[in-house]
Amino acid sequence: MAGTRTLQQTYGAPVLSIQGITKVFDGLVALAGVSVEVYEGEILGIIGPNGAGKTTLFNVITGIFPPTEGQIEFCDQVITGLSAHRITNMGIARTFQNIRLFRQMTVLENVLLGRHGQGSTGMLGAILKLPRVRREESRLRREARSYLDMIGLADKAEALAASLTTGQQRLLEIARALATEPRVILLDEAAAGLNTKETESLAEFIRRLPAQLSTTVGLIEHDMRLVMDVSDRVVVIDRGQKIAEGRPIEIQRNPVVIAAYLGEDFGKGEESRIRAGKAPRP
Amino acid sequence: MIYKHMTKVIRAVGLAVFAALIVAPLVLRSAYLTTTGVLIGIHAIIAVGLGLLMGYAGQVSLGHAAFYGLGAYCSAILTTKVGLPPLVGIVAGMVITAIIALVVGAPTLRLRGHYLAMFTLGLGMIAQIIFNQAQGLTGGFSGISGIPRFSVGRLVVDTDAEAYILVLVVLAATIIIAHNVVNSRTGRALRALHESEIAASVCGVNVARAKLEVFVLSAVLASVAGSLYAHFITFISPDPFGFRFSVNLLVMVVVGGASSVWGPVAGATLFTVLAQFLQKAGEQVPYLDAVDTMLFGAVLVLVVIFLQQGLVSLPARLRSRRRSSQEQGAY
Amino acid sequence: MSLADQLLQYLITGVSVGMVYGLVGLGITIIFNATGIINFAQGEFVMLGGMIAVALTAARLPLAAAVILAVAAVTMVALVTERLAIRPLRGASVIPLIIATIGVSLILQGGAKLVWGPEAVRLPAFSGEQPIRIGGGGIDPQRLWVMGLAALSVAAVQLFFKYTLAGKAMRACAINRAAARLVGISIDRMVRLSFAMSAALAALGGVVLTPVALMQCSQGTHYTLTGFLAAVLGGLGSGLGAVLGGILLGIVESLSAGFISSGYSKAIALAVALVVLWWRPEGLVRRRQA
Repeated sequence: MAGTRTLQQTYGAPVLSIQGITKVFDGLVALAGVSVEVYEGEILGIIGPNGAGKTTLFNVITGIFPPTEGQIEFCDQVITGLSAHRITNMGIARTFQNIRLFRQMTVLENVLLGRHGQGSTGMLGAILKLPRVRREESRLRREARSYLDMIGLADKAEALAASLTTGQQRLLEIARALATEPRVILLDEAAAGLNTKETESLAEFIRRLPAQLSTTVGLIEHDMRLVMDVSDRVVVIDRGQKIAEGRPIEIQRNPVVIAAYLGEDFGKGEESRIRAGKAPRP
Repeated sequence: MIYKHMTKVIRAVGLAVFAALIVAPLVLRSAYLTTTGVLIGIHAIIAVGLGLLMGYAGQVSLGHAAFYGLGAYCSAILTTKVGLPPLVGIVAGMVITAIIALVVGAPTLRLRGHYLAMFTLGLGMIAQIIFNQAQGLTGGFSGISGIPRFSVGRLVVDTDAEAYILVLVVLAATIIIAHNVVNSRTGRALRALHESEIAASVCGVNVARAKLEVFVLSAVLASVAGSLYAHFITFISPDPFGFRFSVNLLVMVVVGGASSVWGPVAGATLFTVLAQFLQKAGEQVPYLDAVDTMLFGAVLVLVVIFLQQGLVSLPARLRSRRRSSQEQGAY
Repeated sequence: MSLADQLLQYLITGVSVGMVYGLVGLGITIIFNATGIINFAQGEFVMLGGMIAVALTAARLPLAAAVILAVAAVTMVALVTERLAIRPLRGASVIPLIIATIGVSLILQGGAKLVWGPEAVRLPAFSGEQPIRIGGGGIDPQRLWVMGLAALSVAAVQLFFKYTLAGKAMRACAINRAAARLVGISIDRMVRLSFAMSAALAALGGVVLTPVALMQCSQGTHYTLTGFLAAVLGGLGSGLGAVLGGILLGIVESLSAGFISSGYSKAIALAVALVVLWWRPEGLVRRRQA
């Protein structure tokens, strides 16, 4: 409880509040009562062994599927069970672990789709192509280009998304998400498939997001150096449960966390858990 | 090098043939050609709409014949029995069709692919029964005759040639509308959801709504085509608005290719010419209609297996094959 | 005839026709669960079953032999269909599969018309035309045959899924196709089996119904649609649900033919089913896992 109070003091009210989320697939429990608060302006790292339920958590938050139990509040509104596009338009954007770009569309068009919610032309407007519609289209294009400038892909605007390198695709997906002007952006393994240099510049980019675009960041990541480097706080999920939460330095020393990871790495779950249990507490 | 020239030549010849075909019925003053031209235009108007639905919203309608019939009957009933001007009939048909399409599409387009197909099939069958049974309104089997030619104020579309021009104008407008839609914010969203519905929805695209809008547009286009048909033939009966016509429309779109606006136009042209020919031949050969049912069925199966993007994808396909064979040659 | 007698007759007519819708729906469910395909040619199997049986009895074959041969022939047709039109589309999305099965239905419909002409044909009743008297009304004995054989084949299908290895494998496919493949179930075989089974069910339905309802080459589409509606009303998951959905549809059709209008009866039944699905797209029967 004391910890919560300090966080409230540091960050103010949580912008995203995940309360006791459980998700069951065909009898398989992917998440079991996970609660996480995300505070305005922070970068929250989410780590955990493979299959721990991290991506499921993102999918539930962004409305890809509803939780079996629990509630999610965003800016004091309950968003549980809303459809994905409504949640996006309320201000939560995301990227995907297995990059989901519109591969047969151009780089610019991908970002333009991120700007979809910032336009209002409907079917009738599209059919008649009124001057207002043309003006809106050129405004959206201008704005989309500015996001491409931000990630340094302006010169690739007319290239097909499929023709980009993995690193560029990850950046483009982030740009597309940012183009929705989110208050919270959820990045699912943004550094997967990136080389060291790309990862470093990505870290720099993520670090600037809260100040530059006043966006709060949720970050699932396997690259420990990256998470520990950019995160203000880290949440650890293992087997569908939150097992730890705290500053990066605390997490690195947390015996339960070490045990969870050792269990995964050496495949001797119980044994390493016991061994880690003997480790000195910080 | 030769290939490069050939593409240019083919394109020029294609354009010339296209232009010649459009004016041919007018220049040759052949009633047969003009009628075929009008039917091609009417079919193409519906096919372009259905193509948008199939190619961009990823959905199939098996009930577009019902929307076509709705337009035709609305025009026929309002002009012959109520005495309203044709324009009112067309607009009334569009409004009623749009409402029905909204009611049918709103729940089904949230669901997976085959629900809309089945709902529209059901709608088509119900419509067919009503066309046949509601004697007082539709004239039952014997239909409605004496439908006036289309007119706006004093401007009357009297001859077949004038009707042909009218249909061409509406078709041109339809093609422009389809182009506008494809290249608009909504069209971009549709192309996006064709690639990944999940990615489109996290971009804030209301996937179900985007599909619904296209479905309603395509239904309304079918209704307009139906009104044009009624005013052109001046007599309607339930027959042309049955399930079989919905399937014919499917053949046009699938054969032409739904991924471009021109595919369905090409498909409608090819289909209508062939169907007109077969109908004439059918007068001499017994059971030819059974054979062409089988033929169109086989065409559907073969096209989805071997040429999924339809005829309009052929040039691009040949080009890429040529390129790959040239690349192979370089090694 | 009193109202009660009339009602009983309409109910029996409705249930017997509805059970055939249910057989088609059961077939659609079986194929859908094994492959994810909605087979738009399913109703043509009903039509073919009836037509072939009529042709065989006309060739002076004994009725029992004609029935069995008709069902076998339609099963063969379904296997050929699967091989030529469905298997090449492995992994295709919904639209191409819908179009391909519609193509198949046209081929079968055109073929039937070419061979047997457009007229409606009739099969002699299995055990005479003499109605069985119940109360003030009579029941066509053929209706009992329809209900009995349909019930028997539904029971056989349930037993097959419950007790045989192939049946269990098919249920595994329905739950998770990828996992089923991993444990060594041949998907190809399951798909073939599902087509064979569903075609046999539909054909049997067509054969037993032809003596009372007549058969015509253009009727396939109606059975496809009612079969699908039955399947969806039943939740597209359980076979029994599809049969119940079919019976419901049949009863609505028969009652509206009796009390409202015979011309509109099919439209009313379709409209009722569509409205129900409009309101509850997941069907009336809650979908059970496996």
